Amino acid sequence: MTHDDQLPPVVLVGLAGAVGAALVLLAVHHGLAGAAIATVLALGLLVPVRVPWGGSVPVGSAPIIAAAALLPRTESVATLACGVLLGTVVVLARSRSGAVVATQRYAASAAGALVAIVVAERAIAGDVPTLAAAVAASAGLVIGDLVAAHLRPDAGSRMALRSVLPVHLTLACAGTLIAVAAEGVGMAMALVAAFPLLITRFSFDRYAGATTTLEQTVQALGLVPELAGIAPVGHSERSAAYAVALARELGLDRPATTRVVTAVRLHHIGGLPHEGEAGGTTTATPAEVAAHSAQILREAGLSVEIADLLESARADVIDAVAPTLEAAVVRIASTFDDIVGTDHEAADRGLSLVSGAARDPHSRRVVAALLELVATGDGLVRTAIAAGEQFREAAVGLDLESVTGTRAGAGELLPFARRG
Amino acid sequence: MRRSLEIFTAITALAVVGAAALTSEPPRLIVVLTFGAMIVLAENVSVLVHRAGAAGGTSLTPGFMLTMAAIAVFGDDPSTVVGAALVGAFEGLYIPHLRQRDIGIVAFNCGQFALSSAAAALVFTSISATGGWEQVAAATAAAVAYGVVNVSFVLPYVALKHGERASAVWADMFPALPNYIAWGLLGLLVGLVCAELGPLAIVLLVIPMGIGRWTFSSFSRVKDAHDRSVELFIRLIEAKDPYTAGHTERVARYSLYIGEELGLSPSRLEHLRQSALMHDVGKLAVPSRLLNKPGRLTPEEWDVVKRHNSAGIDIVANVDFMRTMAVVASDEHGRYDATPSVTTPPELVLEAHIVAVADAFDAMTSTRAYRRALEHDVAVDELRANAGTQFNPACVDALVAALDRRGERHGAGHETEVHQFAVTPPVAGVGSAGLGDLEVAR
Repeated sequence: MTHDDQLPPVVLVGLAGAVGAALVLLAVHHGLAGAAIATVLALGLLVPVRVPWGGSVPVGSAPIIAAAALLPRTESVATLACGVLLGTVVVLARSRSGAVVATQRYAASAAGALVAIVVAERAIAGDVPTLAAAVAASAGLVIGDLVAAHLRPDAGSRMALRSVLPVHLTLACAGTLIAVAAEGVGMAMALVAAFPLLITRFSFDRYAGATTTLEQTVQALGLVPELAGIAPVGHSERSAAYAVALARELGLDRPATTRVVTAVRLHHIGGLPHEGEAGGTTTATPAEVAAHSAQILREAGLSVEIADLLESARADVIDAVAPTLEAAVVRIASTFDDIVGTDHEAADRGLSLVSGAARDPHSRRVVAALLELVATGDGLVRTAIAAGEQFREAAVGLDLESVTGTRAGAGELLPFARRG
Repeated sequence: MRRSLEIFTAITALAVVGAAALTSEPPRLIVVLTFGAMIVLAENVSVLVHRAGAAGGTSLTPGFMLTMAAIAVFGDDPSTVVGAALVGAFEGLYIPHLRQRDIGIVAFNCGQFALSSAAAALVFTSISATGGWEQVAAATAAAVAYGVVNVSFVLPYVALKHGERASAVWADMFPALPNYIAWGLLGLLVGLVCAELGPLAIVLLVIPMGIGRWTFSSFSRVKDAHDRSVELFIRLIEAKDPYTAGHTERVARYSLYIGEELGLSPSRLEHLRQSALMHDVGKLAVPSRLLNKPGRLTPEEWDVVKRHNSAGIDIVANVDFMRTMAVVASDEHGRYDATPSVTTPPELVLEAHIVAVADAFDAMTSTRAYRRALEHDVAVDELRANAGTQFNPACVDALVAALDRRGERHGAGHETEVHQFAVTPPVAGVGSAGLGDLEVAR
């Protein structure tokens, strides 16, 4: 079954019936409180705490920890199982993309929490105090979730691991606080401990939203030189696709990846006419464009690191020496696209040109990664070209006077000199 | 005035703490010092890590939660009021204030925090709660007491210090009030757990607080970077056409005038503002020689301008967050008598109407390459004349009402940013030049 498959209604009804029966059994055996807790756990799966750059943790982690630590063992197993099942049915009925991953991770989290408590009980051969049980459950839950996420073949869920850890820690603290408060102070006050969960969700959501908006603003800024006709439409998009793939292949961390992608997207900004200057063409060399891009970013008060990176990267200069690995990624992603453009047949020529020009160790490393990516037939070039295509389709109304890259002189690529 | 409020607050606090101390045992010193140290750390951690922007005078602080926790740790005892006041006083020790040697503000803050904490402790200990919902009620009452005392000191102080009206300060503080109850309850809960389980429980409060701080500062950093990116975007748009200096910001301002007048919600006003700032994004794709041509455009040139403008909008509309703004920026949606496509959400159609009116008004009231600015009343008459066909009449009325109420006059004789033209543009009436930016030769 793939992610987006919707379950047939018959199966859904059957599942719902089974879960309903399980809930009734739970209520009969352990009272209505058990059924209520199971419902809370199910609802908790439906409220994800999003983190920047993809990935999320359901708020339900906190009540899982509290329930696992507080309830007697058989009851906690039955309650958690019912909660996870109910949540799964609801999520699958809504059939949102990624529902399967989410439910698998939720189930693994609950199992991890229970296993950890059992292990702790075995270790001290007796009853574990609530605080210790909650701490053990938290550790087990995080491990269960991370293992389940790691088993997914898609790189996306692995990328987000480090960013979901703060959310896990916050939810674990809330769950532990609910457990110890329920035992020591009383259930009414313990519900107060659930309040920060809302704050956690809100603040992480806001952060994740702002990150997405910033990325898209940079994406839009990267289009400005293309609208002005000093770079081919789609160049920024395709170069960014190469940069992301290279950064992942080289194992760059999240901030470095963001820097590299931002620099690649904005590397033509400096080719725009200076303020107060009429006319849209530029005859500047790539190095001048790079310096001017960096200057524009500094004046705008954007990240100094990205401005420095842009300046040192010398995007579009095929045989420049890269002072850092990040600079090499920026330069090679952009020059590779200068050569290949929208013609995936040109990939081999692009590879031989960039590898022939790579003289410093950083550039050679990046070229090796690019060879690996293109050779393994992941369809990187096709994916990148497809990413640029929607922008090119929108640009059909423009009479851009044949904007192309031209190779000039000793290996230096003078891109996009505008003709006509 | 401000000085006497500072002195009054400090003396009142000293008197209250002194009187309470005389009638009870001294509080446990170790609790006072431990919580005091944690509060000073919590209040200043952002200062120590990096100087994060302005620490607003009315923001709610993590120290409050720790004070509430201390009250619960002291427990149901007469010495709790004194203990709470002493712990609360630590909330006023804000390092930037100490560095500036602003003793007045430190004395005021220590005093008002001590009094707020004492009030909370008094309420919490005098309601003898045995558990369950009674305890929640007692904790809520304590948090409210803290909030009441805190607000009644801080509100007049901020009003005096910044010379603002009390109602304005209240409007600023009001949205944060529910937080008093929520955070206060949480602080008390942690204190109660501490009393049961020992100081380890405080970790359960400190870790989420630290992560919350980190999330907030990361968010602020990203938000700041985004604002600067948008500014850069606007500068690039305006660099394209130097004759329209300040145009984008003025259109955004007039759009907000209209939006407020029509009673849009804050989130829609924010979207309207961003859309208005981006309304000329299509111009980026228009050849500069056509944008800056001093005379009339030929029909062929006019066709190129329109085609490039809409292609430019189509291209940026591929970026998710620009999609809705592109609708607002497009000419088709700006006209009142145009039939909007069924797929366009009605609120975006209204935003497009608003921006079209704001754009036209600013275009008429500023000097362009092809003519000088029109007079305010001429521009208003022109808007009115075309209301119902080109312009949404409600938007026109809203703009006129908003400008009149503010006493703002624009156009000839009132221009603030005038581009130095090589050839002085001709004086011309509405008939010789169209409305809006790109309608030069209609």
